Amino acid sequence: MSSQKLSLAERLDKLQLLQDLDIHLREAMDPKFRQTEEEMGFVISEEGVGKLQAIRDRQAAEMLADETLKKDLRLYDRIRQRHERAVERLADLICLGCWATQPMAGLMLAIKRGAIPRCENCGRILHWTVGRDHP
Amino acid sequence: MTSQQLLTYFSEKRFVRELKARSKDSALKEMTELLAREREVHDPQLLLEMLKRRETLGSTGIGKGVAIPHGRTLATGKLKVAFGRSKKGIPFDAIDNEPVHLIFLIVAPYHDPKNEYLPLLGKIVEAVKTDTARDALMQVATFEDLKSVFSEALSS
Repeated sequence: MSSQKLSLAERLDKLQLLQDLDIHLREAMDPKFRQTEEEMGFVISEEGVGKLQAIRDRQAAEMLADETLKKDLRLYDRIRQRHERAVERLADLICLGCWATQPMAGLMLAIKRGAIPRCENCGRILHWTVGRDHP
Repeated sequence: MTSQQLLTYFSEKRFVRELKARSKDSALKEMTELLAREREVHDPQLLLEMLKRRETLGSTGIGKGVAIPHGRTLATGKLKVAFGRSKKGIPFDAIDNEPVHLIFLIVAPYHDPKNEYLPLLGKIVEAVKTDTARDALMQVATFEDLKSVFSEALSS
């Protein structure tokens, strides 16, 4: 598999999907969260957790099979060691992870190079590309 | 959370009196597209994927014809609720294996500084727990009707 045809936006989307999966899994394995959901009537099954973990493993394996995506995944995993979430939104040029304002020039430079945009302060991945709206 | 506070997360623009969908996936897609049309999410495909993956953990069809798909995502900046009804019913793998008629889709950003997400989820569950409320929701014709049902259900 080659990521040469994948745009930066698509690479960021893959990281976001991975993070959404990790958050589902973390919540499903958090006894307090799980109890709250179950008290409301939702069922979180062990089988479901296993299936979701398999989806996560498969997605990670696909990324590891590609040189560019492998680097993206490693970056994501490294940031997760320091922060609960590795990917954050950028709103009005503010990183919603640490609330630091980002210089537009730095973001544009990263994008021009095809690099994953990151917060200059906290290092989180910023889910942002030119022309993309964020509500 | 009062009923008035709860209703601030709903909108007439996210109210569907009769869903076209006839399957769980198409219902999630229809409601996700509703949010996208109103520019409430920046990428409906990512949101849809997140919701489907949440369903993998266990159906959010909580029985008695109600489903409350929900999850946190970067795809939205604000906590939002969409409501859709299907008089015909939609197979949703609900815990009672019955079709779902009332769907409340809740999407939340990761950031929840006021801790609104789970209380909102709990309040909606509370509001639809009686036969009276669910029957009334099956009859609503307008968004105003929906608001009245919630006000009534949460005042008693």
